[in-house]
Amino acid sequence: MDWRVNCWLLFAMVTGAANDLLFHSKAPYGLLRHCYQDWPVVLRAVIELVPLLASLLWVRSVARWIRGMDELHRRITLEAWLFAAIATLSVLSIWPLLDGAGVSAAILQATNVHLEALDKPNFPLTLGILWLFYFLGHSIYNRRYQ
Amino acid sequence: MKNKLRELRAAKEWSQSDLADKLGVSRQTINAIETERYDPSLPLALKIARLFKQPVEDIFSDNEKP
Repeated sequence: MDWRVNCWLLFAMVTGAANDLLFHSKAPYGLLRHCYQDWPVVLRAVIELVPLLASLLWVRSVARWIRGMDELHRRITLEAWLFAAIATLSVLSIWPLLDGAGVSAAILQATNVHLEALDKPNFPLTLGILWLFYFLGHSIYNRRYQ
Repeated sequence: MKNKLRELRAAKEWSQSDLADKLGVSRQTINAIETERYDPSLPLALKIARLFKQPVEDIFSDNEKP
């Protein structure tokens, strides 16, 4: 993994997770949840948009990285990204169904972590799923051209 | 698409890495073209043709009959 390409992804995931943890989770995690709603709307909007802006910068660095590639690797990478995007959309689409079936509650119970943010898809979780499917897709498509 | 890249490279006694360096691509790309798992882009096919001083259609051919 190239950190020069993925540093903005890490930043987006960390800030997104921090936002969920500090401002949206219940006690004992949501340390600032009680006062967050009293803050100015502009400040809250900026806080919520930081992960999105970081992920856009990540997309820019990924695009530059892909442009500099050898043509076969560019093809493998684009196929892997397409796979990751479709797989992530599929997972996010069936997430409410899994949640309704009690899967997420079972995971939370098994891990003994009671973060509300994990009850539904959120920004860092979505990026994490995308990243995971990218590496899966890359290993599949890379093997095809070995 | 069929190609004669492996024969042409062998005739010059170049390794896949040597050819990859001359063409500015990875060794994996050369291997994928030689094993016919990957069809090169037109610019790369022209570059290969120029390097071996042969017309593109002499190096690459499809299975279609004229």
